[in-house]
Amino acid sequence: MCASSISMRETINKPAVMSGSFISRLVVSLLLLWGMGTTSALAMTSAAAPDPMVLLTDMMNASHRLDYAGRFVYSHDHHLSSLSILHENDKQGEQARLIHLDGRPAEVLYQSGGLLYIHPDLSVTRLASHGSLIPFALSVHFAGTLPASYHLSLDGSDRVAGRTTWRLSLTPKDDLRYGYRLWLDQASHLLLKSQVVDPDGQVLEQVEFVSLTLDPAYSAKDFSLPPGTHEQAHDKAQQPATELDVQPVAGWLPAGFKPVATDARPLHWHDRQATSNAVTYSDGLAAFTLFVAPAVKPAAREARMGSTWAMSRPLESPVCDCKVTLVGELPEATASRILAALALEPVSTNPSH
Amino acid sequence: MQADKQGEILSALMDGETTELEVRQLLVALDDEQAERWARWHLVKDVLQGHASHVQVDASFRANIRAAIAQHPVNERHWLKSFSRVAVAASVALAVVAGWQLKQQSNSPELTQAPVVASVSHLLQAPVPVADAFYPATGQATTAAYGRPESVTVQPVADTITVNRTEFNRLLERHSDDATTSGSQGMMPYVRLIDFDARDNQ
Repeated sequence: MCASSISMRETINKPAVMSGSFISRLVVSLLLLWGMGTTSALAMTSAAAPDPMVLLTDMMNASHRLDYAGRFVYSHDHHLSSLSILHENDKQGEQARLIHLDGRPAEVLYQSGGLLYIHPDLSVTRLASHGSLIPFALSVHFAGTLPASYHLSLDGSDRVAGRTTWRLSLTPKDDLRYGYRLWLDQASHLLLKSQVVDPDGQVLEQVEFVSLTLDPAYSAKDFSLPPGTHEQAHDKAQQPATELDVQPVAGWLPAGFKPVATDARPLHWHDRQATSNAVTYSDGLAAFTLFVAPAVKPAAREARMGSTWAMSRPLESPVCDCKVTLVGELPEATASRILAALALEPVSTNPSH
Repeated sequence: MQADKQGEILSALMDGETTELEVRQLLVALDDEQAERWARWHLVKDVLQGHASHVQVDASFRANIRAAIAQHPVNERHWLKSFSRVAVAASVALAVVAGWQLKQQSNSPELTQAPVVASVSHLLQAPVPVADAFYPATGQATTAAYGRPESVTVQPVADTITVNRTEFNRLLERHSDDATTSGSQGMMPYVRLIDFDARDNQ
């Protein structure tokens, strides 16, 4: 690359002293040289291919740190949605906005650590979530270390949204979980495209940018609530009629999955009120949550949406007539197996038991 | 089947006035030209409703068309009115496509098909050139966007499905929230949620 840059500069310095008759030929040779320069630059970059782990870490930082605006499509199960994302990180901190461009209007606004859902009827739900709105931010646990159950590889370059990208694959070491394919912008390291792939190689879900603008000029109204919105009164749940003092515990887990969160919430179920307890497990990339709630004559149900399965099973135990449900990003066989081996244990507030 | 008759049935289908038998006849007889006309009508519908993201349409163009339509006598507008009925049928299918793909717990691996929606869905399986533009390559058939059997609702148990979808949606929201808060989110939880909100007509 150095050699070709130097020769380019020498050639460029010469035209000033050359006669006009050479100019057209010179332009051609310059173009040729430029072409060669570009090719050799690409070849050399590939030879000195970046460390994929460094790329991944950069990607997570970039999605939070940079200012960008873009439109992307989200597809699963032969269904396609188009969305727009605005993201800014300035003195006030991180702000982001996701706008649904088709179907009924709906938005999510991320401001100073809180999430505002703007529903199609202009009502607003405020969530004091600590999570990130950025749809492409992988787990924060992910930074620096790759979850042990996956291989990471750099598969070359590709183009997305008119930009040159690096293509990465996160391939599971077993067939108990999904794999991921990632396309990272070579210039900014933003994630421009991602796919969730099942063990058979079938793409289940895809997010892909079609346009991206870096450092757009934002004004305050880009991150304010649209006019006419009204905040919904907080859902003042009555005391649950049934306190549930058990929580689900997985009797079998694919390697690498650990409990990462527990949660007990009032459940509105038809006209009844009860507590529903949940435990979330993650392997650092994929996550699933087990729920248990009292139920009357529950039936086994299964549904899939993109890469996410939801499965309910009746569970009779001395403690309660309960229904257990698994919701998460796992292949069907893995989810069924976890659910089949599920047990109940006394409620614990410590997620890392 | 005669071309006139086909056109009539196509038009009636847009009005939601066909019988199952007529739809079957049409499906057998549908030639490329008919399929193209169907596609064009849908494209027009999409453009008028501002949904055609794959074609660049000037806003004034839509306004002009609307103004022109408004000046026409009502009987000439029936084909446009019919778009909205098809749209209703299509949105029923879409609501299911967009949300959970419910798996039957019975021994039958296939989902039953609701007659009306299924008819529309099957017709859309005819080669519709514009459909390709909607669906990016995901390694799956693109023209069958509406027509996959699992995307068709099961009428007799629609109530159960509604209840389950709502419940699953709520649990999914909680799962996404818990997983994200703990820093272990999957790939795209919030895209998924906002997608629900816009799609789910419950």
